[in-house]
Amino acid sequence: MERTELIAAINKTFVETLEVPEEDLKPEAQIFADLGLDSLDMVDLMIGLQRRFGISLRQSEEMRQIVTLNDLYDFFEKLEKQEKAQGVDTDSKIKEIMNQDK
Amino acid sequence: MKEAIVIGATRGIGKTIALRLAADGFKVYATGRNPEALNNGVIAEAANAGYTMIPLIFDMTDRDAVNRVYAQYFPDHAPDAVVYNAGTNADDLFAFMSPEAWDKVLHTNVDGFYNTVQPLIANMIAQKNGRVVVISSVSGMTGQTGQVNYSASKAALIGAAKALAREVARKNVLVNVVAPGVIDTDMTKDLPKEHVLPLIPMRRYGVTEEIAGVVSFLCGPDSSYMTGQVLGVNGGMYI
Ligand SMILES: NC(=O)c1ccc[n+]([C@@H]2O[C@H](COP(=O)([O-])OP(=O)(O)OC[C@H]3O[C@@H](n4cnc5c(N)ncnc54)[C@H](OP(=O)(O)O)[C@@H]3O)[C@@H](O)[C@H]2O)c1
Repeated sequence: MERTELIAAINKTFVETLEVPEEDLKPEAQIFADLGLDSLDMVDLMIGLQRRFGISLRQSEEMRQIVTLNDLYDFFEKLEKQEKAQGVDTDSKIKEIMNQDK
Repeated sequence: MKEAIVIGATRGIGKTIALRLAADGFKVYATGRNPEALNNGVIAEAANAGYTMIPLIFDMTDRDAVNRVYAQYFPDHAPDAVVYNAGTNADDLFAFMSPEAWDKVLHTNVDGFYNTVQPLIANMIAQKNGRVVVISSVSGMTGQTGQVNYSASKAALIGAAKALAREVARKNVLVNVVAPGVIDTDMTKDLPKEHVLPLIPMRRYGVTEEIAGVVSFLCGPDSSYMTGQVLGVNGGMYI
């Protein structure tokens, strides 16, 4: 899957789960400082992403290092590659997300 | 259909709570350690009444066992209501209390809360809707002679519930505590009634339905602006 598709899917989750305005979703935006989320929202977001992507996120230290949106995209890109290597059909998952009506 | 899980539903208060929530329209997951006791008791009664009730078997002190069962039933969602009811006691004067009696009660009552409630919380947050009801005890509010271990564990649950209530309120997950007084169950059948009754202004033991009614309220629509509260249901034993 292309990185742009992944970013679009993650951004969609942000807008829908946490009602963050689309125009605020710049890669360099800091999730806590700029987007005004807190650690509880991160739980919410991670579960939202986990459900949508159909992959399981274990509490990992790496997740705690995420500061900017770009960090989050990197984190998911890596995860998606791992899942794919294990035979999970992440491409169709992403398509599904993007085709879902709000 | 809304779902509820009742931890420790084989007998006593938990069994009545499970049947009450089923009557309220919840699909109920009833947990216990002993499959026969669960299936021949609360599950059979629920089936007779035409309710949907599912038995889950685990010892809540066994974290891995809980997670195995949860992975099967709650892989990507949490029940709407979680009632943490299971608990145990091993009463003795503190001067005589064995390390086993201390460890067993603290480990079961306090660690059981972590083991059974924590794995469900992330999904409750994401669902932006949920109720957690913790069954503590009047002993956790006042302390009780002969129950230093039990009082400590039940007070710990009140602290945990209040802290959790603050953490998750913004996501519309409400956490409250019910603190029963003396209720007529296996746990209290050996108490010297003639000594206990004078301590209760209403001069009688409570019945399990009187706890289940309050739990039903806390899991239902009428308590939608309540969180972090401790409701005493004790016949006036602690005012
Ligand atoms: N009765 C009272 O007067 C009173 C007063 C205040 C507070 N409470 C509290 O109310 C709750 C219910 O009391 P009760 O009188 O109904 O007690 P009970 O008749 O002794 O029933 C206890 C329940 O907890 C379950 N349980 C115990 N240890 C467990 C474990 N390690 N793993 C899984 N389940 C376990 C039991 O299941 P098994 O069948 O597997 O043993 C049973 O369903 C307890 O938390 C108690 O402390 C009771």
